[in-house]
Amino acid sequence: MLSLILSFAASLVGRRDEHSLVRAIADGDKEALRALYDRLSARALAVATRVLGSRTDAEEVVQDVFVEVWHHAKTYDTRLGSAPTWILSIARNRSIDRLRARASRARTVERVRHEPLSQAPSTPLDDSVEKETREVVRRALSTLTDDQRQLLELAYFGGLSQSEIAAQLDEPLGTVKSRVRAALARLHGALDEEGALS
Amino acid sequence: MNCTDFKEQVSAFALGALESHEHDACERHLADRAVHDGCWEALHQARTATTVLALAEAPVAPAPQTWDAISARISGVTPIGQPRRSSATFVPWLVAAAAVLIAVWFARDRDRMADERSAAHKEVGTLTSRVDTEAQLRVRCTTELESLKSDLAPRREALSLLQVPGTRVIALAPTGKDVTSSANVVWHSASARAFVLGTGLRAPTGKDYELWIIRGGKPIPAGVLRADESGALVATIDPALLRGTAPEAIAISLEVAGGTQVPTAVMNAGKI
Repeated sequence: MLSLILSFAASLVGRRDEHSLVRAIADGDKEALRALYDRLSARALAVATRVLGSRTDAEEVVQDVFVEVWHHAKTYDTRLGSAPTWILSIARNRSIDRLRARASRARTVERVRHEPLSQAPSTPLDDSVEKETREVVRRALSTLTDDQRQLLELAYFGGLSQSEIAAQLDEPLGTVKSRVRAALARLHGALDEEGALS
Repeated sequence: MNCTDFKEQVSAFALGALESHEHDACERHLADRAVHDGCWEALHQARTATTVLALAEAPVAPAPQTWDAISARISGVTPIGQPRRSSATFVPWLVAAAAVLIAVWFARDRDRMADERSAAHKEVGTLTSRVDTEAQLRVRCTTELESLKSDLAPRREALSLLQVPGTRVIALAPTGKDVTSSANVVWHSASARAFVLGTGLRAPTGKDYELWIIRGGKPIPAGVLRADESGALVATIDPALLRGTAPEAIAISLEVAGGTQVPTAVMNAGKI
């Protein structure tokens, strides 16, 4: 599969790709960790901030993420996805761990309901690659219905299980499960149509 | 769980939306079976699609302190599965040794300053008889004191760098029979700052010690080193030479006065 979706691929022109950086990190190359951090920390912080709603906590999560990458680069398995997928997944999981520890899920559910994705303001980090990435992502997400998006966000950013989502939305578990499958399949199909996958 | 069951659950698995016992069952399924019917591919697709949710968020640049904290946390820790570098074991000792070395330098520096101040006083006495105005005398004294101050600056900076997490000390061992000279490099790679601390580096007449950064197997001249009368020196390494790929080694050679482009007589060297 071509680099993650996204125009990460374009951003890699002339630079070491994330996979080779992870390999170098596994060999103890701290400069490679710094390069990977420069490339992905803002993404990881965005995810952590969205999940936790606290910049301070999110910055600590980013620390944990890259320390974990340093310790476990050897265990990175390409079958699980690209290096950015792996790192952002760590960022999401560590954020959810912290969120659960805080036991403030109810607040998160409210936040997920009221803060739709893909409408975040632009930042100084924006550049042509960033805009292209955001545009691909925006178009892919626009293929989902509002209900499907809400479902995915409750799971991904809210850390809710399908059973918990069913309870929150007062819908049968079976319905939630099939909607989750359909939503992710549609998202993947949209990326495929965008040519972001190969 | 079989491959069909796994693929039924793979979306929720990738989203982290399974109950913990279901999640564990999926992980066991992946780990236990040598041959799968499209499970890994399905997981790869699901995880990639999931990542879109993360990418939809506008990037937020972390505070500069976040990297410093990461750097401090991994300092001296090798990744799991990677043999620990023997040098890492010695780093704390080298840091301690260098700290002592610098402390000695400072003590000596204090004495030297006292001596120089005393000499300056004598000189002032002599000058008083020579100069016509107090203003001229003041200018002369100020210049002397500024010179002493600038001499101390690299020592202070090197000492301060030693306190920064992630700073390494690299011993530049003598390469030949002449073991009278010794040198260490205090190096903080994240900020591309480094200092050479040396003793016994009094160059013979017509010669100079020269510093080299070895990168990609090639020596890069990093400047002539000039020690004080006792052979001691503290010199700043040009940060531009430290950025990018980490050097493999640092060396000091004895060259013709003014330095050369290719080292001829390497006296001290240390691997990074």
